[in-house]
Amino acid sequence: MTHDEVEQQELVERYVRKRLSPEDRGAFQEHFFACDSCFDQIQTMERFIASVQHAAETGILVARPEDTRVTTREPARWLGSAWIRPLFAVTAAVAVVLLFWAGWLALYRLPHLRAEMASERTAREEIDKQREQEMNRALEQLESEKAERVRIEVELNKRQQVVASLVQPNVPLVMLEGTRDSQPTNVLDLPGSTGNFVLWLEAEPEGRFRNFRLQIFTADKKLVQTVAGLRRNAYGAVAVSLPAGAFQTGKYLVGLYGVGARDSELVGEYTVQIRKR
Amino acid sequence: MPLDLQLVEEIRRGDGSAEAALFEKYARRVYYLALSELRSREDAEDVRTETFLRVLQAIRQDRLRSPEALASFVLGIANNVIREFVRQRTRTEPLTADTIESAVDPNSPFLDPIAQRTIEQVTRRLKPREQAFLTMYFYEELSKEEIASRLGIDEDRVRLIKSRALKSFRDIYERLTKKVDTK
Repeated sequence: MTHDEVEQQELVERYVRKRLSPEDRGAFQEHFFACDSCFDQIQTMERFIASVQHAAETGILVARPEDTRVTTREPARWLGSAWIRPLFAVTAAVAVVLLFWAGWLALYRLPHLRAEMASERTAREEIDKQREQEMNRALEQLESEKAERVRIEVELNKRQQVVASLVQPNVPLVMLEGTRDSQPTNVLDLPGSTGNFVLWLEAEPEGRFRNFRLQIFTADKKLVQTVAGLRRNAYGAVAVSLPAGAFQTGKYLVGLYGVGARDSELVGEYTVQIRKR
Repeated sequence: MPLDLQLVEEIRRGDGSAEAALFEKYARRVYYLALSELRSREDAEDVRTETFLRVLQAIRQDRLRSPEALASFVLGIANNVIREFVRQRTRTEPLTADTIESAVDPNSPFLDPIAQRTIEQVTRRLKPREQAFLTMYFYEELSKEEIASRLGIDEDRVRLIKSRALKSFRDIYERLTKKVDTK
């Protein structure tokens, strides 16, 4: 017995409905006792027929096409319950998702965004504050440097006044500052009637030196004047009076030497521009 | 599933697992046979038990002539046991109007709750004419010719309606059975 024969002769249905001859029934039993597929079909057919009979008995199935006592109606395909339920389910699912999303926005995301913006604002304000403080510190520093410069100028003026009071009036005096590229050359204006002028040089305490020696050279290194045995005055400076007649208009190099027990050491170097009128 | 010849050899050697395999292979078929004849689950279980006792005895006592025809042997024993049950029943329960099988067995052993739910869902998918056909064919047991003339449908259409309804039934039944199994 082949499966084609089983299908064409509707053996499964006829067996279940006991419409086979005894011989065919026996033969089909032999077949399905060895064939899983046919045995499964028999099981399904038994349930199907039993269910159809029960449904017909209880009125679930209509007996005639015109019968309306059964409430089952063929729904239009696109409005059938098979479509509506999934559609409602999908709509409900979408609504739930939207609700959760709205809730998430309102309860989590928006407050977080606001907190982030507030935090950024605070950070910006902090940065602005820091910049302002830095600017204030820089201004304060500038102010203090300016004040220091003013103090130094006042000090210098005071010293010059002191010196002027010590030295004869109307004697030209120049306070020499050390030779550095960035510093302007010391300038000394000598009126024509001037007899002497004073050079004022800051000197270190004599601890290392017994006294100081001053030597003045022309720009081409010719020695013009030497003054030895100089000592620091009460203002910590060496003040030297020199004859104006020994000098002409021009640049001069001034060297201050500390004189020790055995040798002397250059402790200061200056340039002076003398302008004779 | 082991071959019948192999099963017989192992049962003869006293292998318990082979006896269990034999039961697993044929128990559902024997039970179905008995149930479809006797329409009683209790009686079908008794037939199944008695059938396998006799089959195992026969194998152990080497009374099975052709081990390759084990399926036929089991079928034969099952039918014998069923006939004995029927004879015993007619002796103890005389035939009355109540015991004569009616066209519809309201307590069909093949009508389980899942099958009932299944047919309800299948019915919803059928047009009234198709439902009427099933009623006339399986319930009223009218001939195809008579149904064809009443409903105005030809034989090919009849086959198609049956085939579609049966396929729907099988698919939905399997789906509902899986749902129950996974719960």
